[in-house]
Amino acid sequence: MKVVVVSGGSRGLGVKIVESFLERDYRVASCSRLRTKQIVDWEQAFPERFYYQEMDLTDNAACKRFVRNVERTLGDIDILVNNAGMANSSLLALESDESIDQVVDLNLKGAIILSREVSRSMLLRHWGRIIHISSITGQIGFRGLSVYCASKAGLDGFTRALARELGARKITVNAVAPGYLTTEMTGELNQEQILQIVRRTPLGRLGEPEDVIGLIQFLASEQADFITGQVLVVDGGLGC
Amino acid sequence: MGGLDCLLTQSANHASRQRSDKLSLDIDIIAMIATILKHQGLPEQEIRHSSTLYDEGIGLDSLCVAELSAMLEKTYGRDPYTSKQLPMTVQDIVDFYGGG
Ligand SMILES: NC(=O)c1ccc[n+]([C@@H]2O[C@H](COP(=O)([O-])OP(=O)(O)OC[C@H]3O[C@@H](n4cnc5c(N)ncnc54)[C@H](OP(=O)(O)O)[C@@H]3O)[C@@H](O)[C@H]2O)c1
Repeated sequence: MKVVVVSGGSRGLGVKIVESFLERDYRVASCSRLRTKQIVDWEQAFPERFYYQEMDLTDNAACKRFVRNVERTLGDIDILVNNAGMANSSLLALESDESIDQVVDLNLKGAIILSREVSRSMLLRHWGRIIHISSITGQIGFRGLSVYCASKAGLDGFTRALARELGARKITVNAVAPGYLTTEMTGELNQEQILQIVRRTPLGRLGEPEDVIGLIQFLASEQADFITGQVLVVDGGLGC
Repeated sequence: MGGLDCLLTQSANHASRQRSDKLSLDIDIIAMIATILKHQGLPEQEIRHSSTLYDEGIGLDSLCVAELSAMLEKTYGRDPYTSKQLPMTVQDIVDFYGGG
């Protein structure tokens, strides 16, 4: 059975992504800074095919160790879902160096380093799937989220370039760009902001993590063999 | 066997083991390059220690080099390319692992 790595599987969308792969009998690895109860439950329920490591994805050396540990424990990695991400809401003029570093180091650099490490063994097996979780805001922008938007737009460019590099070895690289989802990340939005987003969304609601899962599963499957370098938007029409 | 004889035998065994380790290192590295060429559907060719790895030599392109780098790292735990070296010939790779 294939091995999949989902970064940031301890909360929010990551939980649903991990769950969807475990339900389909994949061997799944994940990481985050804090082990949640959900992680402990999976460790107990799937000791043979779930691996978790507490780590900070902004630490390059730790990313490298994590990938080696997954390979040793579960086997060579077939699918990588770069899901971990964060947003600090602030006008750029007021944003600190630390806050900018945190967002870029996790959302963009962390995804790049994990992709590099995983792609090396995918190259040897001439097959692989890399799926980035981007955001519609990388395309349309959002006031107070300029650094986050920049990191996601960077991820979109990375998706296209890496797809060109790896295509000859049947490794596909795509990104899924959700609109606003009901996770902790959007918990900071006030009622007025939420209503505004809903009003601007043709399908008239915020997204649920489940809205994105079908597409991730499709991109990870053999059916998506001929799709690469794409940023696929799942936002209820917000950005159309 | 006396002390000196024993030492000489041990040292001869050691030297022959080193020779055979070196030989197997050479063979393994050449086999890796041959595998990569085969996967690319490139014609079989004689790979010598002095063969240049790129262009008009063996003709590895950048993706083949990335594959070779990953293969070497997987086998030996480290590889010249990610150690900021650019081997030009097969012998340079052998030398990197102290097999020269
Ligand atoms: N929610 C939305 O509306 C929305 C919309 C579009 C795109 N997205 C994207 O979807 C992805 C998931 O978002 P979400 O809403 O599920 O976020 P979330 O609920 O905040 O979860 C983020 C996950 O990433 C992990 N993480 C954060 N910083 C980390 C670090 N430095 N090292 C390792 N792990 C780290 C978190 O665990 P720890 O904190 O314990 O480390 C957690 O598991 C993100 O890439 C986000 O940009 C979300």
